[in-house]
Amino acid sequence: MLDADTHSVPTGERRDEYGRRIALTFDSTLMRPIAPPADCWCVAIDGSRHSMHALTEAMQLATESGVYTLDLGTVHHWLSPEAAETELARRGLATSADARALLDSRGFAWRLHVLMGEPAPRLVELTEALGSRGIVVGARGLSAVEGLLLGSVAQQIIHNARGAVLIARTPAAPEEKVAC
Amino acid sequence: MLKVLVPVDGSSNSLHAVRHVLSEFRRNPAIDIHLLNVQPPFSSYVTRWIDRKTINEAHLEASELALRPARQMLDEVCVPYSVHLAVGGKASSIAEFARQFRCDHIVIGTARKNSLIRTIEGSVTNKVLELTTVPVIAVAGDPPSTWERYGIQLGVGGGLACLVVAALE
Repeated sequence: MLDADTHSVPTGERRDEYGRRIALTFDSTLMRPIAPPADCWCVAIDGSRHSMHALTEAMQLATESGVYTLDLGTVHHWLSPEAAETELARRGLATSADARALLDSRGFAWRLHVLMGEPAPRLVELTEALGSRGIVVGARGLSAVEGLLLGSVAQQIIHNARGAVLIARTPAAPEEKVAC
Repeated sequence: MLKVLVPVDGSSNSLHAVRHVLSEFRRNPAIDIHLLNVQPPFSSYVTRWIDRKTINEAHLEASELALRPARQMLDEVCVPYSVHLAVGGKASSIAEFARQFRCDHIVIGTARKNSLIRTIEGSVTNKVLELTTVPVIAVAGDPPSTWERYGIQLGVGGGLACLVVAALE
């Protein structure tokens, strides 16, 4: 898997006014028919258990409508122009490794979008640019007060997106409540 | 077959949710649509003096009124659906129904409000998300009205300014 990752070449990139890489796109390496973005759901991936749960929900949704392609969106913090040249691709591929492996094993095609900046606005912009059917995000299942204190990307997306947002809540694990 | 729960209260935001389900239905007709209207219960002062049948009729009448626009939209394109009525708290009834009927998704229309307005007015979507682990599809509705956008912020700002002035004096 890692060997294949080092040879992955982005199929698209975007730079800001300083020439810094701010967005990269990768396509699935396996030869599979790819559906246009307008028919696909876009899944927000951050490598956590919750985003993997969101991915399985999105796969079920895609299977029901007979579209075996998903867009994956992953957002990273700002990097310096020099660091972004190598780090953005490396971090994006590392974060989404599990998600891509799962999609490959289930016969799904995917498009990976690696972005830089604030998670919620970047993801909303991405789905609007792609014209996706909607965004799929995992939620940690925080209560109102916890969400207010920790900030919830899912909340921000729901109230800023113009399209549909699927929120997949992972059933709460008891040890996680203690960690909060 | 996907079992989809669509809570409808007759507002334009809930119609956005119905519209989304319709567009999904066009892609995949194997969707079992359940419209749910939740009516607030009457207070015990009312129920003490009026018999159960009249109260049920009042709830039915109010829910039919709320469901009419959504039903019209679905009837026009001949989409099959079923209608349900629940009496109780909005969010808790929606979560309970989704659990009982083993729904695959809840599709709910959401107003596009900022965090300050949401804190003051509350959001059924947020409460549903807190209560259920069934995946929820939030469909963006209308942006808040001008009054909501500026009035609430001015009100909160004015209130805080009054408190500061009172504390200084």
